[in-house]
Amino acid sequence: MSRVEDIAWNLYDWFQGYPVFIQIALVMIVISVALFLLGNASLAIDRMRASYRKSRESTATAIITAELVGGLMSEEDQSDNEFDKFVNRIKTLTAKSSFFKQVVIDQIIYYHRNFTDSTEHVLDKLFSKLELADSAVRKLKSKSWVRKAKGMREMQEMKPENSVGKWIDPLLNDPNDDLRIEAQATFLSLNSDDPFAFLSSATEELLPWHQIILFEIVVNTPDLPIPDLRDLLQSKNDSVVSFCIKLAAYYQQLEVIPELISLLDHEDQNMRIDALDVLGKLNAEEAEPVMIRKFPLEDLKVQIKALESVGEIKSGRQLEFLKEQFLDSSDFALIKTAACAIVTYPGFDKDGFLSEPAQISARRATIMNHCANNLIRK
Amino acid sequence: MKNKILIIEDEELILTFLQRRMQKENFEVDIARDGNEAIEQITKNKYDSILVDLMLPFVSGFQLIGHIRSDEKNAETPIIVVSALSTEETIVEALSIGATDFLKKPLAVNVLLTKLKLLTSHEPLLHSA
Repeated sequence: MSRVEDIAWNLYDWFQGYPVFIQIALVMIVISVALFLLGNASLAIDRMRASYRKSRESTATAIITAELVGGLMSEEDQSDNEFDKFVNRIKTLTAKSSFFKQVVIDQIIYYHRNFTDSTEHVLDKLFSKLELADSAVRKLKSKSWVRKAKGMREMQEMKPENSVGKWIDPLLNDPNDDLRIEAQATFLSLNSDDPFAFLSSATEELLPWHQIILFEIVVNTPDLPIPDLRDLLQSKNDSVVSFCIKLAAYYQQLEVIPELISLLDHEDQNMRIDALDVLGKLNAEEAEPVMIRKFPLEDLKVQIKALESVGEIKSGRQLEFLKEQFLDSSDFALIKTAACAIVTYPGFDKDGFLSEPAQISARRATIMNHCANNLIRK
Repeated sequence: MKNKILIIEDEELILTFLQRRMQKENFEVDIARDGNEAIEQITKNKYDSILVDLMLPFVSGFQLIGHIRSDEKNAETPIIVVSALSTEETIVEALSIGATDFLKKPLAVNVLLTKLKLLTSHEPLLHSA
């Protein structure tokens, strides 16, 4: 028998010498100590890895920043030959490892986000010469959604010329919220012919924060083709309709007024409120009769919005309706909204109206005077 | 003599780029990465122009503008605010508490350089072109 076997048998004999409950306790102690050691070892390894990565990253960042800033500094007086030399120097860095390449991409994108005009132009040229769009496409093919999303964010910022629809399209209705919005944002940023086409095939929900991201792209992208929202406002996907209502207000699309009026029958209260809001903003006089007809059947929130919209449209034809709401409503919010709508309404004579105390209580007169005071923010 | 400017910016990559670009344009450049560092520099030196980011650690850009305006040496120094916070209210507030100009991020470096040259030079730019 070898020495190790000898020790093992001795240990076994020693273990067997104890009663069962002591044996169980011993096993538990051994397992606990082993787990404790394993946990600490794994923590130590993780920290060592992170610190190695950080030091590698700071070295790479310093080298790449120096090269990039050097190239970007001489942006205007740079000949093609000099620019090629600059590209080659960066290419040498990207060839070192995929880690270096990613740091280059991240820095180009960072500078692209923070600087415009000539600096932006040099960065676009550099991104194209280094063929970094290929790296973004490769990320789209990855199985990890985080890498896919990163690839799409790179595309949104750098807007490469090569078509990526093949990779983006399947992700437009992905069940993963983060991935889906990145795909939609990329589609909107890159598809210059019909950037809103994805909305007509959107089956998943456009969450409120998705809508904010998409709207920001719309607002900040110059020369984006204006979408035809008529069909989209009839979409079966309510979140698409909700987004398109906001777009209708932004683009001041008067031709969608009939679709917005139809939305006053929508079962979702928020949708009706949004439609009323935009109808007011579009000064849709033709919507007034529908708003007034539906008014008694509506919830308080919708009624308030309807009064605001009628006040905003200022057609001059609904003064009696507004007066009626002001005088007959019992709810304070309704009285106040009606008063605020009336005071700036065409043809309304406040002093004459208030001089008939028989029909107006002191409380209502105070509310109206409050609304008429320009120094008070309503 | 070179014009002396102070860049107050907490983003290292932007700071590095602006610093080198300004040096290339023959400015003498001091840098500060946060509000406290900036106050130290402002107290010690007189500048021909100061570039301030609004979102800074420890002391905000707005507070810094107030500090610069109350500093004896730099009370008259032109201050250019460079910020991604560019709502109407922010711009009005920055200008009303003493900023000379406001540039939005993303930044056009050539615009910034032209403004700096205008603010630090007593001669019209056309003469130096």
